[in-house]
Amino acid sequence: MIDQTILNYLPATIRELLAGLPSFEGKLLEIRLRINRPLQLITTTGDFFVRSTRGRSETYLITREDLDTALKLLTENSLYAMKQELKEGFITIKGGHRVGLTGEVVLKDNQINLISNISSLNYRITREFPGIARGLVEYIFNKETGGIYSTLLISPPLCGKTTILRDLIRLISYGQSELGLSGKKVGVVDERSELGGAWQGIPQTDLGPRTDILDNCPKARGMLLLIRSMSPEVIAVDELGGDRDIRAVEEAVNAGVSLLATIHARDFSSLQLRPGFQNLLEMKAFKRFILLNREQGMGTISAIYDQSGRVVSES
Amino acid sequence: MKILGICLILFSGIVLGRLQAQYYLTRVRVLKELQLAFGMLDTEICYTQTLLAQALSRVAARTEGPASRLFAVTARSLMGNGEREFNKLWSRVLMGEAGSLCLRKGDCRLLEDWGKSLGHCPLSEQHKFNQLLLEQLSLKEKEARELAGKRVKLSHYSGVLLALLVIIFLY
Repeated sequence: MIDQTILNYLPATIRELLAGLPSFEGKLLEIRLRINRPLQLITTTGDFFVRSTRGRSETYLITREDLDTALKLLTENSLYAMKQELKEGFITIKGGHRVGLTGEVVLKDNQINLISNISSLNYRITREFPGIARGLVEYIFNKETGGIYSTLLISPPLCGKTTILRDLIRLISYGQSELGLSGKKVGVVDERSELGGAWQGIPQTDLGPRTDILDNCPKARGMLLLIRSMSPEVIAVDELGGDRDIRAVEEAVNAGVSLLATIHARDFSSLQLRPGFQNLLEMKAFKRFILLNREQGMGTISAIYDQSGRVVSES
Repeated sequence: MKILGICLILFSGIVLGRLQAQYYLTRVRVLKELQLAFGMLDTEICYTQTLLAQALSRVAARTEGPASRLFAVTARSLMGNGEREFNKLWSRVLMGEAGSLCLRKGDCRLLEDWGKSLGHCPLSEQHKFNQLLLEQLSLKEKEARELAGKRVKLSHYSGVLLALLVIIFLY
């Protein structure tokens, strides 16, 4: 049976179809609704189209009415309040799940102003893996000072960076008594609501008791805001990218705050080639680099380097 | 005994007349309250962009009378586990509250049509729909006020006259 929270955001016709399917036991990744196309489910083992109840051999085709109803449910009948979400191309729902949307893009000043005439919806099911990063804490914990090393998680997309970062935040916020790590004040800048999965401002994932979250806030501005107002011991951000992010990282490091961040890169050497990052590497802004891949499933640790590029741990 | 019966019939006629007059007066009051409530709702939607259920609930808390109840019942239902599509729910609630609202079919149709506009248009269009509803309600109120001016006294008199007619017929 699919999580009731997600079913609540689907039209009754689709809800009934999905309720008749066998349990996915946490393997369901996505539910895709495309207008005039079959209802598609994607699981960890593959994908399939859902059959209609009318004719067992027919697949169920999504109608305009299905999409309109789904959109009303997703926006809580408040499309007028969703301009930012329609600009970004996703809506976060209760439970921290995210629904991506595509349709007709309306441009204003060469920027995406709105997505109208929605034609596809992608319900992406958020899954938490509490404890997945437990083995990493000892490598980023400085036993001498009791602090956390600024750490960068590196991997190509879909290798589990965000999942591991989310768990690291939680573990550091709670503290790890077996390692002598006391709980730290963590500030999270969650630009795309991926870490906290905030719904109506309330985080839907457990990021720990000492965590403050700035939801929907640009990373660079958010990091500086947190430093000024929340006195965090650790700041966590997902997917560093532009020059502004890099400058904000420099400021945070100079302010004595530890950073936990992720970045898209194939390996450590390709990171060195990225513009702006050489400066960060030279100033040793990050003390630990964790490389991830999918060789043994999502979140496989390939290697951990220190600030000099020496291997601290290798799989 | 006869006098007591006459008094009773006369009293009933007066009450009936008053009830009929009250209907016209209540309709004017409700239309006015609805304008106030929808004005507040428009502010919640346009300036604070509050989600609909919360917006309805806030407006209900700040207003009184049948309009307030209409908003409160809708907000409660939207936040509950039943129907979550606003236009369907709104029609159902309107039908349930129609009696206490003292509105005519045309008035209810206006409100129902407005409900259909919610949920699928962006902010600027939603504001236009809200403004249109407010103007239509204002016209309806004017019309209801004129009607009340004509019919309130008439209802009072007809109540008394009806009672007198019954008395003459019986005795």
